[in-house]
Amino acid sequence: MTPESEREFREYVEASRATLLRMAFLTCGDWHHAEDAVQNSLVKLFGAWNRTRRETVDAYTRRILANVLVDQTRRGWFRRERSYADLPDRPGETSRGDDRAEAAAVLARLPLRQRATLVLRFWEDQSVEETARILRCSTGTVKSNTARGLKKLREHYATLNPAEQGSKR
Amino acid sequence: MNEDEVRRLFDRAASGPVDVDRVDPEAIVRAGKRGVGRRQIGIAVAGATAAVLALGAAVGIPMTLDEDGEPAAPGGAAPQNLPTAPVDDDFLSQWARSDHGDCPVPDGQTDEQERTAAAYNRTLFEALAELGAEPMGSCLVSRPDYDGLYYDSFQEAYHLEESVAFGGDASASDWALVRGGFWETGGVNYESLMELEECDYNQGADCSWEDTDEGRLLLIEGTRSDFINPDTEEGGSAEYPVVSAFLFRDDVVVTLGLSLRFESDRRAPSIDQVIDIVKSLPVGEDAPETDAPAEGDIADALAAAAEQAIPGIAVETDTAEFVRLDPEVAEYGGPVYGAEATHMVFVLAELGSGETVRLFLQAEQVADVDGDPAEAAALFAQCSDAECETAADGPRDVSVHRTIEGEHPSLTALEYRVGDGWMIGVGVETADGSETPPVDFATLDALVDGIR
Repeated sequence: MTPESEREFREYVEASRATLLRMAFLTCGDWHHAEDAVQNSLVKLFGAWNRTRRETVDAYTRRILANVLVDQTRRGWFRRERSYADLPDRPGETSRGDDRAEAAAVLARLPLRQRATLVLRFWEDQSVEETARILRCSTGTVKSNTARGLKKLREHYATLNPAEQGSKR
Repeated sequence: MNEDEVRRLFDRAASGPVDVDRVDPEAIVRAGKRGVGRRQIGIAVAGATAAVLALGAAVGIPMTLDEDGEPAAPGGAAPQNLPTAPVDDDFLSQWARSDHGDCPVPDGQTDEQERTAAAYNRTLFEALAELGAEPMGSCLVSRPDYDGLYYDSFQEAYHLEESVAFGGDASASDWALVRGGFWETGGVNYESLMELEECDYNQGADCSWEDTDEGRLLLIEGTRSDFINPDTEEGGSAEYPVVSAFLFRDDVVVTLGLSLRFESDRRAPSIDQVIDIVKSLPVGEDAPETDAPAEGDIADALAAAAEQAIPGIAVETDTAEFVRLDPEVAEYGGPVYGAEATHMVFVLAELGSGETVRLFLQAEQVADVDGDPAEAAALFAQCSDAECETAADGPRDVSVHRTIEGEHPSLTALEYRVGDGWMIGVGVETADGSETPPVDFATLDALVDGIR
């Protein structure tokens, strides 16, 4: 890699790391694991930097990150995280920090691929096709994961607040 | 919970400062350089290993033949002096595949899931064949490739992702990506969810609802964005015509959709045809026990096709003999039907005229062929030892009419399908091998068409 390419790579890391960290955290639910996943992903990106087109590098990086997160899950890294990320008993009376924890805990109830799908679709505003490309799955899988993820969230909130859910119908 | 609420949930979960210094560009560059160095060494070692393996494979070929090349016992309908070898164990399962592919099917399906998928596959691929769609036998390179429908334990649903070609027009290359599946609703209202995904996000799709005895139908026609290459996803996305349907039964959602990649002005399958297929899938029925593919299945297929194409013929299926050709077939002095990878079924039959003939079916699935498919077809048809007329049936298929002369004259119609790599032929010769039998190529072509 030329010094110029290395400089570009460093600039890319600095410009994208906050976004990638948030995306990883939303997907895995743990900041430490998110940091590991982002660093591992960027190391992989470094190896492919000279072959990566700048106009597609964001999608490529997200694909690497999604795969790293899924691989981590396959190894069982996040099983512990779910147990301590359980929802507080009284979610309505929370401080700002508790609010974040509650939101993270709600998301942690979803299987990782559903979370990854929802993060890409509604946090990153990626299309179904782009989400499928990043997650290396079919558009049908993206759709069903989206539908199932939304359903689980809906069911969860219905359990928490049945009166409110009922009034919406 | 709607999409905006999900976005607000994400905003809340990811709010607050992020410690970006935990992701240090310098540390990443250092680690990346170490990784690149290791990978370059790994590539060099892998290359050397591949060369050694290739050498070992070349050395191993004669040994394999020595172990497995014992000639099969003569008898039945096969010519007495034909050099044959034991049938390859994998051939029957390869022949029986719904998707005509040759890529290995991943493990992990339970017997019940396999039976269920097989039952759906039978109905589905027969229905697609009636639309003129033939599996292309292509293998996914980016993810596991199954034989038609398969159970995805993660999704808790059966999925289908196959490519089919539409034949009959020699000037066109028309194919479609077929996606489908079914899953239990578990009490969830998927009607609104799938309408949201299929219709709200796709400006080019026209959606409508239809109430039927089987359940509500969501019908989708028009265009939608899809990958240009659904496997590798190279080249990004484009708008393609689509026709698909969701059938919301009491507790199961069944769906089938075609993303059409037609180059000609061929008429696309209609939404009504897709609906018929979706309704015909045996949802809720117990999956029948299925026997492993048997040698007799191919003889039965040959007999059925013969009885369909040749009025008055009586096929004596109990004479059927299933063999693989021995490499000596090239030198034994009789008809050279094929090579060592060719499997053949011979069966005796009596024509309406009272003449006894020997019908044979020959089949092999050949590896990827570079160059002119017609030349490849002629090669696999052993045309160097026979007279052949070769014609392109379309961009994917090559037809060969082979006339073998000499002491055992025969006629064979063969078809080489570039898409799935199958070379399939049906031939006929008189039982005593004395003269050319009274069955023409047009009839043999019909036999080939009737078999697969």
